[in-house]
Amino acid sequence: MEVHVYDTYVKAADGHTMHFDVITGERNHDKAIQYGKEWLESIGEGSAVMTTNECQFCHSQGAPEPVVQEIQQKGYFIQKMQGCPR
Amino acid sequence: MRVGSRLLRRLVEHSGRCAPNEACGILLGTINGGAYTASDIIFVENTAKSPVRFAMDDADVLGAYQAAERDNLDIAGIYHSHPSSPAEPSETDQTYMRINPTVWLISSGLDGSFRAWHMEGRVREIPLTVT
Repeated sequence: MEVHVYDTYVKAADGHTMHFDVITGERNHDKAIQYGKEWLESIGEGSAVMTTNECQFCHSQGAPEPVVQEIQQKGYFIQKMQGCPR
Repeated sequence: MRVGSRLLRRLVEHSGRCAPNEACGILLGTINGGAYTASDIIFVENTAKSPVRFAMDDADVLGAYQAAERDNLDIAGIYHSHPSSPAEPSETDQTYMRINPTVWLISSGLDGSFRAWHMEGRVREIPLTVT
C-alpha cells in the first residue's frame, strides 16, 4: 500500500517542539492536518497550532504491515520522532 | 558504481536488523574519474527511527568523513534501505540528493534489490556492478 508522509513540527503547551510524521492512506493535506490535530488532542495537546506551515507533505512510499493496518483502521499512523510522548 | 558482494551482504544483514525501520550508512571507497567504488560502510543510526524515512546525526556524518580521511578513502555514497518500497528515491530522498550530490545506494525489502542513483539536475539511475 502506498502511504503519504507529512512532516510535522508543532509547539507543545510547555513550549517544547514535537516532531512527528502524519502518515495517511490518501494524499490529502487537509485530512493529514485533521488527523494530526486528532492525535494531538488524544495526547492532551489539543491547543497546539497545526496548519500547512507546521505540517508539510514529504513523499509517498510503501509502508510495513503494522503501519498499513493502523491506517486502514483509523485513517492515519503517527510516526513519533523528537519531543513526542512515549 | 561498483560494490563488493561481501559488502552487499553486510548491507542486507544490517537492513534486516533495522527493519521495519529504514537503515542508513555512509559508503567509503574511491572515486576515480566519476567511477564510484564502495569498499566499506559506516553504519549510522537512523535518528528518525522510522519505516518511511531516515535521518543521520551530524556528529555521525562528521565521524564518517573523519574516518574516510584517516583511511585515505573517499565518501563513495550514501546508503539507505526501503523496507517496504522499491529501491527508488522518494521525493524526500531527491531533496536531500540535491544537497548531497553523491551516489545514493538504495535497497528494497520487497525484493532484495539494490539500485544506485545520482542527482544530475534530475535523478538518474547509474549502473550497479557487484564484484
